[in-house]
Amino acid sequence: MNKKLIVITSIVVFSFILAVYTNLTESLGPLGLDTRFLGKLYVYFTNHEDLRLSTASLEPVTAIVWDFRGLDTLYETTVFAMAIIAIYSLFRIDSLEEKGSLNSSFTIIPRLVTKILLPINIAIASTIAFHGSISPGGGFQAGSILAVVGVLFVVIFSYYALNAKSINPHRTLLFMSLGLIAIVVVTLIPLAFDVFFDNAYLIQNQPKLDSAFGYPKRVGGLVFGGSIGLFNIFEFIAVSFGFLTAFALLSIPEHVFKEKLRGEESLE
Amino acid sequence: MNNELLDNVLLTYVFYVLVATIGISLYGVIFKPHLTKKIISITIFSDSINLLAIFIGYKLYSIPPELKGMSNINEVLNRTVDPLPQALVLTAIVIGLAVTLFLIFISLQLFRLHGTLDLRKIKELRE
Repeated sequence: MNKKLIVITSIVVFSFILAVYTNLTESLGPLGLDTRFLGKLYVYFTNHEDLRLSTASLEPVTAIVWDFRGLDTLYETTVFAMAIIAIYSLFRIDSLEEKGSLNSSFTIIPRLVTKILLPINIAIASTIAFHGSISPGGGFQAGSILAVVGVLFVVIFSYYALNAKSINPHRTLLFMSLGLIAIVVVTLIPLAFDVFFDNAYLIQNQPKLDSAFGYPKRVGGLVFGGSIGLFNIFEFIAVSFGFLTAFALLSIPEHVFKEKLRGEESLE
Repeated sequence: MNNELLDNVLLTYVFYVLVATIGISLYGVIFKPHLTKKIISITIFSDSINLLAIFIGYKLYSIPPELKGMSNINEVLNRTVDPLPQALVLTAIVIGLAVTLFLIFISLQLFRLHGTLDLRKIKELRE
């Protein structure tokens, strides 16, 4: 009890001193008054007239995420994929053969509402992904919205209903891997250009001062953002199927795992 | 003048509240014996730090960092919030989510093996 009291007191005192110190010395800058110079630079160069300095996008946040600090985001995607693969190996199930039907113990109201909501949800997610370089949003946000479809489906129907639609963890992990491979390919295309044609750099988006390589700025009259648009689409695929893998694994009925654990014990 | 003072007081208040939330969630991570509560505390911890980062980039009476439909870049530069904390927080959210998912799956496995998530009971069972 005494130890607990000491720790609580030290946390309270430490956070209070930290808050007062940062507030009085303004070491975080004046709160809420002005945008920092670095932030203004990012906004200024997001859609600069000179293509060699621009990211060809209309959304500074997406431009920072996939162009200015693109390597950061690549590693972030790697961390996410590693977590999903770790979960998959932890919950490995060999046979998921049981086929189910769309029967549900719920009344017609939640079932019908779910069926209406599913296409709307998919449409919204796709819009957010494809418009990621124009308006706020992007691949990750769209992927999380699409993953909600899977959760809703499992809650209203069942895991077996998901299985009846041929969606199982093995398959969703495959699609996630395809999305990740596509991201790697988009990253490596400039390097291939460098080897065979002219100077180019890793994760290059628009032409630079000493490099002519550039992804298309517009597709069909719509601002696409070069590699940013491609990254958004592939990240959308990777994240949505990554989440679906996790949720599908979470929704596998408990008795399947119980049997598996019992089987391992009897083997010993 | 009065309006400015009120703004300043409110901003400072939000800042102190965020720091206090971080402290409380740290307490939860250290002292709550149940794994679920520890995971909830960790998410509150990371979320309040993310909110603090967004708050540092915030500007009063501002617009979101968006160039669509804006013809004058100087107007955007004068009124926009800082986009950098938002981009960094986006990265932090994804990684935090990956970590939380992994923690949840490990706790689920632990529950299947021991039948409880109370760390005191698990410690007793292991002895």
